[in-house]
Amino acid sequence: MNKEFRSCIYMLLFLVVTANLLHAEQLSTITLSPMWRPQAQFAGYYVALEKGIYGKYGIEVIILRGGPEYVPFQYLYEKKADVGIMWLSSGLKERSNGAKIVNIAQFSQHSGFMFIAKKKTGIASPLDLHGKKISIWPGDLSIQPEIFLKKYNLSSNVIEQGYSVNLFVQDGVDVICGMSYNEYHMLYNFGFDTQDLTTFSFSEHGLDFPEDGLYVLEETLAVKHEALQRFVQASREGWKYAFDHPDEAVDIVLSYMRKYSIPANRIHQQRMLNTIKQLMTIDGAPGTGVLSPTIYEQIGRNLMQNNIINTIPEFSEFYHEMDY
Amino acid sequence: MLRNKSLAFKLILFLSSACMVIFLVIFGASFLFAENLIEKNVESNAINLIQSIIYQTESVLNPVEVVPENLAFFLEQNPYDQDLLMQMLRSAVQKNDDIYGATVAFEPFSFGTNLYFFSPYYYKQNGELFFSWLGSEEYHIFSRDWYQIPKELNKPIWTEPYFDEGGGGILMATYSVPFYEIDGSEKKVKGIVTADISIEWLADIVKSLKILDTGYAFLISINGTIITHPNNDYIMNETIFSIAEASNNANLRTIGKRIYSGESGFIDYTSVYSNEDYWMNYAHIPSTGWTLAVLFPKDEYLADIRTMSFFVILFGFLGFTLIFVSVYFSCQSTIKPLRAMAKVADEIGSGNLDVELIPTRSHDEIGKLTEAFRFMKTSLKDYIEQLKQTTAAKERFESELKIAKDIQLSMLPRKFPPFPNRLEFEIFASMEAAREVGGDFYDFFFIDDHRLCFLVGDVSGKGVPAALFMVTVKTLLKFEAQHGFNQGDIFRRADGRESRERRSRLQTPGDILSRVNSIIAQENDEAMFVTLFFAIFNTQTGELSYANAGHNPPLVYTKQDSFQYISMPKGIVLGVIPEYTFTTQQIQFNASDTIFIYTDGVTEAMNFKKELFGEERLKEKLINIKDKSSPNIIGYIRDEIKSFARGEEQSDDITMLIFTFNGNENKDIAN
Repeated sequence: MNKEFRSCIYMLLFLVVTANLLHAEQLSTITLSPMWRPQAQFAGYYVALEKGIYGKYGIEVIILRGGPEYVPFQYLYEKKADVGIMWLSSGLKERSNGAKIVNIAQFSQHSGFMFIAKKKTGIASPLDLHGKKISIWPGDLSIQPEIFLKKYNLSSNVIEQGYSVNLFVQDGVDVICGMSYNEYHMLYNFGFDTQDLTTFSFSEHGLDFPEDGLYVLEETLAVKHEALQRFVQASREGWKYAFDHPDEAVDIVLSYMRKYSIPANRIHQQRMLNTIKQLMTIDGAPGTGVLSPTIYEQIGRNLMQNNIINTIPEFSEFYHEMDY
Repeated sequence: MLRNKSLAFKLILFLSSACMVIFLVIFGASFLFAENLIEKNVESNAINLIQSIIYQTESVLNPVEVVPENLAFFLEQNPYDQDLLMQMLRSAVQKNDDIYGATVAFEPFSFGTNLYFFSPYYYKQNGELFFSWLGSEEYHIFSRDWYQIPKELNKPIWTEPYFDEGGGGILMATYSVPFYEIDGSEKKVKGIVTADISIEWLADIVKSLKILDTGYAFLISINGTIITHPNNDYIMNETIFSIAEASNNANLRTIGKRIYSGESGFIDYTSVYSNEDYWMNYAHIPSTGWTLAVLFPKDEYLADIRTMSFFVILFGFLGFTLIFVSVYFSCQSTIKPLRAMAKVADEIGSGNLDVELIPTRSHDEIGKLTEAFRFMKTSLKDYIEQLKQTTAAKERFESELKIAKDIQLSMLPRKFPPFPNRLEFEIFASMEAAREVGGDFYDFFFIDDHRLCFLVGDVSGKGVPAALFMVTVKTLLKFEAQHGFNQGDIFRRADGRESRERRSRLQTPGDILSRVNSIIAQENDEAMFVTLFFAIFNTQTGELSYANAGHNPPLVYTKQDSFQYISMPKGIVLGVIPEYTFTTQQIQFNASDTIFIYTDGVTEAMNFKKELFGEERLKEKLINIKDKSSPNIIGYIRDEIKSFARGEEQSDDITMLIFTFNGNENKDIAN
């Protein structure tokens, strides 16, 4: 009996200790939901994980696979992820719609978003898009293309764009959405020369919206403030390491792509990392992760004018700088 | 450079370069021909091979295509409900071993008005049949390639290959067929019927293609993605263009574009993968639009002709060596006597005509040359002997001629001034003989105390006869002037004898010339003649009387008129007409008047343009002389003639005589 009781006590003690440990562990674990499958667009996070930078900062980080079935905002909301990577326009729209999400770092500073058309279809200027068949990504990614079409008063046949450029390659659509660091170069690797394509970079048409930023729920921020702070700092270090060691960074990204059986093309990822670096650079410094209030106001006003949002959320509520 | 090389060297050089060129041309042409032949062979085999693979592929793909096509046709033509649809779909997957899965995906709300997605999907896994519904918030089937591309292109398509998402990593492709709702004249896409198949068998066929040791084949999709390749890392990861970019190979990109621009082709290709040169044959698989490329390793195909070429070059080299050696030795044996002969020629050249020739028995060119040498040696010897004699004779003759010339010259007075105590006049003369003994002469002498005779003449012809004739004329002239008499009239005396009476001394130049002319003309068998200017100057009166026998007119200097040609009495050359009478003419000399007499050697001096010095030029030059002392005038004219002739050889004697009257006052002073 005595023996049994003692055993019970030990068991209880063990349970209490492990539960506490588990709780502490939970507090220092960050789950990241990237916007898309592994690619150099997220190199900094994979590098920080693989090079033990997160570990060095005392946090454990899990990066979700990413892809069409992983919608970061949804994952945040359902608390399947602590941090979601979303575009600034998306974040602004959701916050304006009442979502309690906070931007804790704005790594992207410029837009790499563009329309791509074939020169042979006679498209040379924005007005040539009138009446053309255009495929546009669904959801928040349609914000810039829609504003662009509105700006030039274009009425086009818009269809939903999937995840490949094959329809465009096979002449099933005249114009597609693309990222300077991804689809544009992908087309080059499908045999399209620079002079075969006409591109309309949204950044050159007054729509230079910063893209990838880190978002968390307000409540998560309250609970995991310190861990998130470390996460942002470690991620910044991860990006720095990636830019300083591009070949190693690409190797790490490629290893994730292979792990998930995603077509892994080294030259494509090299180009992507290089372009991403440019998009992350502001005032000559890449990867500061800081959101400028001026740019925020500017984008906010633009979205409001185009009826994407009704009010511009307070900057101080929207953006929570994790630095000292 | 080549000029200094030996004959053997040149012969070997020319012969071997000619052989080399011929060899290389033949070798190169046959090599290219053989290579071309092999390439053509490979090409025709390649076309057959690739066509048979395409046929094999189509024979698998085409029956698969029929299943969704038939289903689509059924859905367009017949009424159906969900049960029937599911049943048909299920049996399609069940009954066709090649089909892994199939769906009929309807456009939003077009199956049931309340269903956004309606896409039943039957699929096999590990031999078992499974079912699921496709389409969800996360899985937008309508923007997937297998749905969107056939819908937008309005035709059935094979999708780009992909890896089976159900695990197992099987390479799959989907055949998608659109079906339509026909509402009157409007034809609207109602949905897409698909069939998924594994294309592992195709990958196996392509992979198993081994062309010799290093040849291989690969398959690329419509957008250039590599579907199969010996390098597994390329599969589904790389496109032909990304490999070109990564390896910085612009040529590969061009080849990639070429592959897409045409149906098929046979081209040169350097593989980035194996770094070998290939002939690449490629063709599109008609149903899928994918491209099959087969690479035939050049090195292996050409190995045999390269081995052959090696031996051809080796034997060629040995052949060359043989040619060199044989040419070298044959040159040596040919050239040896030539060298000896060159030595003999040197000896002969240095004067040793008694040198022994090397005996030769051969009758070839060398033999003939030796014979010719022997003949030359003998002829030379004879010739030299003859030459020695001729030269001796010539030398003798020339020395005699020289003596004759010296004698002739010595007969002319050469001491100036000739009459140092006669100050009332000056006389100065010079004769510059042409090459041989010439015919010019001059003379001056007193007939009595106050009459000075002077003359300048030119005998026709040259050489010894002319000189002798000159001597005769000169002697006769002097004699007749000093001692001669008229012939006198002939009287018939009472006794019948004839005698000459009333002879008188010859007084005038005309008389003297007439007399001398009659003497020489009578015995002038050689028809020689002489031109002559003959003058007698009276130092007391200053009167100059003169006669002329066809000679050039002299120039007279007076203070008033400077130099002028004087008028001449008529007179033909001496020695032609015996009875000719020469007339005399006089002019009066004042103090400082001068007469300049010359022969045609002066006025007929020629320059290289064959222009004559001429009388006008002579007169002009004389007038221009400032210092009019006699030796100076003659020296000056001689220099002028020389500078006019400019090195042209002097063809005639140049003789000048100048006489200046100083007036009788000078004589008194002297006395």
